[in-house]
Amino acid sequence: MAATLSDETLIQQAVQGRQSAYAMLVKRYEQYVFTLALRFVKNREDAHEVAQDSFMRAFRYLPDFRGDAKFTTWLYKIVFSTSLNHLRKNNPDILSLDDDDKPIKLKDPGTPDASYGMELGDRSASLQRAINLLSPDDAGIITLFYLYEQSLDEICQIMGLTMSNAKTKLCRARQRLKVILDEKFSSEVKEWI
Amino acid sequence: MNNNFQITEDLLWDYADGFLSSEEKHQVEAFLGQHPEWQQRLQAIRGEQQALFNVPMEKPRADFADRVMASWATEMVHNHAKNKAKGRDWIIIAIAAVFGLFILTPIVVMVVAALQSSAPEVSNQITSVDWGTLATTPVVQYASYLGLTFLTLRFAEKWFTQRSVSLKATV
Repeated sequence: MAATLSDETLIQQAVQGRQSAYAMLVKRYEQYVFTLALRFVKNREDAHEVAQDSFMRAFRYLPDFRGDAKFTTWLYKIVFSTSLNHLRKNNPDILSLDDDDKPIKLKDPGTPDASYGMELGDRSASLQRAINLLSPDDAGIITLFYLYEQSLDEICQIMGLTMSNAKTKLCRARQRLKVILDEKFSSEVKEWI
Repeated sequence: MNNNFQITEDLLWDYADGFLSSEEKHQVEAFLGQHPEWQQRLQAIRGEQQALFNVPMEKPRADFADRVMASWATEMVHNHAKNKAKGRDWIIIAIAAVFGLFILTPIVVMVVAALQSSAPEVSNQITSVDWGTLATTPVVQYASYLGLTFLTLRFAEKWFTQRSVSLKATV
């Protein structure tokens, strides 16, 4: 059945010129690509443009995809570079998405407490809004690691980072997320350290 | 367990995210075994981790996939036209080369012949030929070859075009 076709099969068919295989790849990954693009460019209209450009670039270079990495890792790498190009086009001063110089004002964690009174759905919605307030690279790394379950090694390939750099970035991104949740969503999030 | 071992929030996150080495993991687990309050904190972290895993994805507009495919189809048609034009290039060059050859060769032959023989003999030959003889003259033969070559090349072009269209139709 078409819905159960693996990425590899669809890629093979697409490379052979079967348009329906391209369409299935778009349907399968449109939300992933759009969400990641939105995390980077922060604007739905631009995210649509970046997501579409990413798919077009992916299709153009699909014959060069040799399967050394996962298809998703390869695709997210394209989304990352397309987003970066888009941001640079709109703001030529941007050289990278790095914002590690920004200070993080962490609240004193105090005594650990396991009580947290929010439903998972509420918390996820607040988290989604908080992630959208993060800087592009923070939002990107959080999305790639937790939502897309990419390993640190894969994140290094996507964002062009070293292993230790990726780990530090992820830690800092999480800390900044806590600060945002604390400052902007404290009424909704009773417990986030 | 190392008595100087200090647990931190980040270390617990690294533990939950699976970043620790087996030695560090054992240290954390030994510490947690003696400090139930930090065990509770780990549970809280796992809860937050789960919430991060469950953050809903953003939905693009409903016609997003259609737009991508429309753009892709446009690009494919554009590429097809470009390739077709490239295919035509060599046919045109070949036609021009053959045409040039057929124009130049008789001229060269005639110039050489004119240099070797006298002009009145040539003139007599032309005025005295009948239709049968005319068909065997070099000019008519060259013209026939030219027409035949042109038709062959046109056929080849049509055949290649038809083949690429039928390949596209099977997609």
